[in-house]
Amino acid sequence: MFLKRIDLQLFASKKGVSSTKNGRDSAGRRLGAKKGDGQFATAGSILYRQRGTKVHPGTGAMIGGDDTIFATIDGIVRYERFGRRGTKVSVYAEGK
Amino acid sequence: MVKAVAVYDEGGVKSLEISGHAGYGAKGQDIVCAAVSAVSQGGLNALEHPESHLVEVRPGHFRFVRKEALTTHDQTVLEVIIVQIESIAISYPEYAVLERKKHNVPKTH
Repeated sequence: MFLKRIDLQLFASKKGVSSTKNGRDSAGRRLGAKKGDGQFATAGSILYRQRGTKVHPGTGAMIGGDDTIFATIDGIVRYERFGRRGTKVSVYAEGK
Repeated sequence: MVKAVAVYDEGGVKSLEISGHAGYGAKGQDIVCAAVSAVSQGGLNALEHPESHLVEVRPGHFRFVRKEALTTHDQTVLEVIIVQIESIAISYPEYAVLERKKHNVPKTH
């Protein structure tokens, strides 16, 4: 007796749902400006979080090991041009 | 939902038609579909004279139509297929259903 092969999914509906090896992502690092232009900043407070130097440190500001820019004096924050296309952030003591 | 319709007449099983998609799971993981597939296609393999009848098998479709008188063996095989599908339908009513119909031969005067 010749037995035909059978398809055990003859009445299956959708195509096999393929799995993906993607679908992972790290949490956002909340980068960017932490003090706006014209805001008051105290010495040591963080002005700008970044990767690399999108923004450079100007007067009254310094850059940390992870490129974070922070104020070195109390004063008003100013975002200014840096070269042809760059930006720098400075802190000017009040009254100056 | 897989729908099976078995039609009977005075000669026994006249036709058995199964259609649709079980939808119990994705292709390759659909156990209700696998059960109905195994029972229907496996049953066909047990027929002594499948060539005497009309048999169609393709994805989502199974059809047997009696063309000549059934041997007692083939009648039993078809009945076993139908009862097994009915058993599956009882256990998984949302995914399979079987309907038995009587084929009324018009009386000639």
